[in-house]
Amino acid sequence: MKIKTKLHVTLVTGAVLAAACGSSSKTTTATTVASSATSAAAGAAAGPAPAAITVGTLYAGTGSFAVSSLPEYEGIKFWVHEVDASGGAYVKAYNKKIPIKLVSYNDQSSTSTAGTLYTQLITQNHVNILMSDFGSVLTAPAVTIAKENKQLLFDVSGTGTTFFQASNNDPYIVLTSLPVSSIWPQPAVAFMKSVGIKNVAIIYGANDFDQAQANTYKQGLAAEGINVSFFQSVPTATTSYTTLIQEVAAKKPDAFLELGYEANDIAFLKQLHSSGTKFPYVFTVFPGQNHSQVEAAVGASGLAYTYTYGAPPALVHNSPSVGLGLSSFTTAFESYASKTHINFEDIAGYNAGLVVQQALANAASLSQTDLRAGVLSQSGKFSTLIGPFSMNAQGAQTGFPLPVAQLLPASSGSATKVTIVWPKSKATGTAVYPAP
Amino acid sequence: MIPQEQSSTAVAAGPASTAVRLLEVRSVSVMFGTFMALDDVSVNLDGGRALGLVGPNGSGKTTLINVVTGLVAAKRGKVLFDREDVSGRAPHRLAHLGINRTFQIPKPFTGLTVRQNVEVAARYGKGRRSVEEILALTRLDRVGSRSSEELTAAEQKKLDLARALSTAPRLLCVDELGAGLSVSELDEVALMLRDVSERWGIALLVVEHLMGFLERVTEDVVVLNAGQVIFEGSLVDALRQPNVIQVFLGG
Amino acid sequence: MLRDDETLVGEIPGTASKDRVTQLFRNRSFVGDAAVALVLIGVFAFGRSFEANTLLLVNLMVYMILAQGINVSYGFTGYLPFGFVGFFGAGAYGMAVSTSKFHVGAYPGLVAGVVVSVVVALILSPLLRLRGSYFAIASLAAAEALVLLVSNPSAQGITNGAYGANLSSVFNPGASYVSTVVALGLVTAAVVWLKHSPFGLALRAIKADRSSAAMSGINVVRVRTFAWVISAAMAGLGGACYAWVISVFYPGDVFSLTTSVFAIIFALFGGIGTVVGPIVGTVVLYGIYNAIGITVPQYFQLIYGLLIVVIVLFVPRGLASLGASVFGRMSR
Ligand SMILES: Nc1ncnc2c1ncn2[C@@H]1O[C@H](COP(=O)(O)OP(=O)(O)OP(=O)(O)O)[C@@H](O)[C@H]1O
Ligand SMILES: [Mg+2]
Repeated sequence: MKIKTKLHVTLVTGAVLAAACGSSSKTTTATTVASSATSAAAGAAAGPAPAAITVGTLYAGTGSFAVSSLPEYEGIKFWVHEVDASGGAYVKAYNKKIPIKLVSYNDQSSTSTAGTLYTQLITQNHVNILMSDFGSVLTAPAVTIAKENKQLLFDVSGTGTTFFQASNNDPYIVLTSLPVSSIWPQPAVAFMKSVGIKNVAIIYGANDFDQAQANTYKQGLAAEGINVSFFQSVPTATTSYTTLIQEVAAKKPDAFLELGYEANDIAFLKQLHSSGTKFPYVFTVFPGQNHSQVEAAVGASGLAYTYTYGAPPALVHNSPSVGLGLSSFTTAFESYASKTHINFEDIAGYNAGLVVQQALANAASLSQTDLRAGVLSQSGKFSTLIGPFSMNAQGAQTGFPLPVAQLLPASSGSATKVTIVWPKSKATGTAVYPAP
Repeated sequence: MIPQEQSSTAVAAGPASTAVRLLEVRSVSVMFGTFMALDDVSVNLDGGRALGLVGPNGSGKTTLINVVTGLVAAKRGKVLFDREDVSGRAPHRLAHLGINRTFQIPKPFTGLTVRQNVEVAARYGKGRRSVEEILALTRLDRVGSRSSEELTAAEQKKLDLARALSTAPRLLCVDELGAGLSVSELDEVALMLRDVSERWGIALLVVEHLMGFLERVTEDVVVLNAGQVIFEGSLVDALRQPNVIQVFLGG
Repeated sequence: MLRDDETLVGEIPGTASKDRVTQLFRNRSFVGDAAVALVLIGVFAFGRSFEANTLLLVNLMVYMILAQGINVSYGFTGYLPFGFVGFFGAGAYGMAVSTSKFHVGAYPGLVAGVVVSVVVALILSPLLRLRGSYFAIASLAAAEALVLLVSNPSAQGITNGAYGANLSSVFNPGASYVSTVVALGLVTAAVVWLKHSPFGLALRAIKADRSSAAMSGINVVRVRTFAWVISAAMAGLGGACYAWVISVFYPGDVFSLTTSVFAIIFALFGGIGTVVGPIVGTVVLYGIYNAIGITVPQYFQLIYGLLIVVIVLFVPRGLASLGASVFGRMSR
């Protein structure tokens, strides 16, 4: 009996292990950048210039966030590489260029480990700049730690609504590369009104990211007089949508929005396709951000004519005021990282670096409060390959609007192309509504 | 070595209660699925007396003890203890009332020392008997600090007995205590049972295959076969009954 | 409600309680365990002066608390709850909801965390009727159900649902650290008590054999439930402290299965049924986790996993059993 339990434990451990090793072998492309603890003196502009500006960040080498975290980390590394190749980043406090040094640790997708490592970056490595790992979940532990240690957190892609409430009184966070998730749907609502959609069904994951969007949709559609006839959350781990699809079909909506994470979107699109049920307008989140991966999983016929948020690389900004434009970024990044596809996370990482660069170039000193003032002073004044940058008083990103894109079949029919269809000013093609 | 206190206990719980009906099993039936393990069994036992319970393998002896000690629920019938209906009561409450037992296969608390085994029962069984006294009585005092799983089979049986005794039972059911013991150990244990029964006025319900052992503890027996009582009376008479002989030899 | 004939902790006849205390202090293993507890508190009380990474210290303490909770449940009663993290999460949310929605102070919040996890434990106590893997899996399902409950949009008014908790109103790095140290002290003291009290003996008796424990007069259901509640309260306290320290978190963070698995592995590795085992297990394994996790992340899972498999197979009773046998040989 006792021995049996021991064996169970061993087997479970073995299984966990096997799973972990499986996922790590897929993602061992990450290499740790030197993590020696030589610390640059953070803080005052007084005194001699530091030999390097240290930037500390975390990435998830394994676990559920590795898929998104690693590309974002590649983007950050690429930015460091670019800046150092040009002799460093311009630092206003010393009126000269100083090289960037990256210190990074692997949090393995664990929030408690991430918490420890963020603390390590601040208290042991004394980094000048702290950047968070991908997404809200791995950013959350950094929010408190940054505030406690009075260190400005450059939040790359953690769009969590709780981070930016005015009641937090938290001057130590800025969101660099994505708008807060609650403003994502704004262009999409306008588009839906323009094509005459009257009746909408929404299902969304019970997580911060999707729920914030769902609520914005609900309010926005109501304000436009559009009826939301179905509004339901599903657990984030859901991968079965068949019965929900039937239920929604019974309501005969013009539009069916499924707001999930990448795995949810893939499962939903596959099951919708095989169910044979058609809706004039189907919307999911991730095809626009990670087109190649979603298309490989769902197939072109399953994606065809559905809608998504248009994000770079589909959304092209070739002449930003700072940093590389999309096409030069693509060329340079692909050769740096030896990749053939870039996705939004790569760009988000790079973009976060550009925002840090703006902070350094405009802050009176390297103190954390001055760095924040430096970023805020540039709100609305520059644009990057994602679009125009703007920031509110809580540090939330309000720029970088995400247009509506439709996945139109390429002429061969074996692939789809992310085509921006709204707003008109950015459109790269015309929407096919209703979907055939 | 035996503390003085114990003799006064003997007087208090001793011969005074002998004539009183202590246990009454009334028409008890037990089903395991569709199998009837006990079929309308009635057994009576007076305070301080001893009764043997014999029968071939699978005849329901252990099941009867399980019913009396609350580990198995009867489908029909009642168990009265001290004229009170105790059917369906939880085992620990029966233990508090004064019903205890040993197990056919001893069940020591592994991981605990011998002394701790007895301590637990002394404390939670509310017997107010001294642990040292019980250990001395059952000759376990020399192995008191050993872990109970290191004991020999015979010692483990004695440990079951020691634990039961430390709860100060008025009714003690012993399930094949003799099986597997050597001749000298049999002597020792039989003496021990008679001794505690007389000293503390404990009634004994003794399940046993070894007639030699049984006759040293009691004269009265109940014979079970296939869940039914087929004989009640003295052991000597039982062994003269053709149907009893038939059951034992034929089975 | 105790009936007059049923107490949780009986008295050994003929020994006054004062005698028992002297007796305890003559017991070398009790003195050793008490010393372990005191040293532990001392180390963490002054921990911040030699380790700048406070969160590392907090994580260590929280895992020690959880490993001791597993110790109480599995080491003393034989129930291995894979869903143990459910109590941790319940404690964290008890703290979060009471402070941010009901605006109680941080200390009442900690109490609320413990109360919530105890209530959850009582609601789940019928699970104790299941045995072995059935119990382990049922407890897992219960933890899963809890996280769905907490993150459900209809619970948003209370738990803030999927948007996660934010305790910035009571945020206090110093006090939350000290509270975690005190919590660890309480939990360790409780395990010392369990190990050396008759109640602890009763638990181990039940673990060894239910029916003979019952025949020894132990109210098996009540004693077992009480131990289950103690174990849950420990996890709840750990969760409440963690919530206070970390302040911003999502339901998934405090209900993560990994937390259960870690706590179970740390406890087994160190040795269950002892006071020092779960502490040593946590220090060694969480220490290694942090050390190799940082320096050689690529091989981390492999090294870590192999280590655990080797230990479970070859030192099944944990590190503490190795220590005990060496110590035992020396002192005999
Ligand atoms: N829990 C149970 N479930 C099903 N059947 C049972 C159970 N316990 C006992 N039995 C059956 O009931 C019958 C009586 O069993 P019991 O153990 O009472 O016999 P016994 O007279 O003690 O036999 P032995 O001399 O072998 O100990 C047997 O056929 C046994 O298989
Ligand atoms: Mg039997």
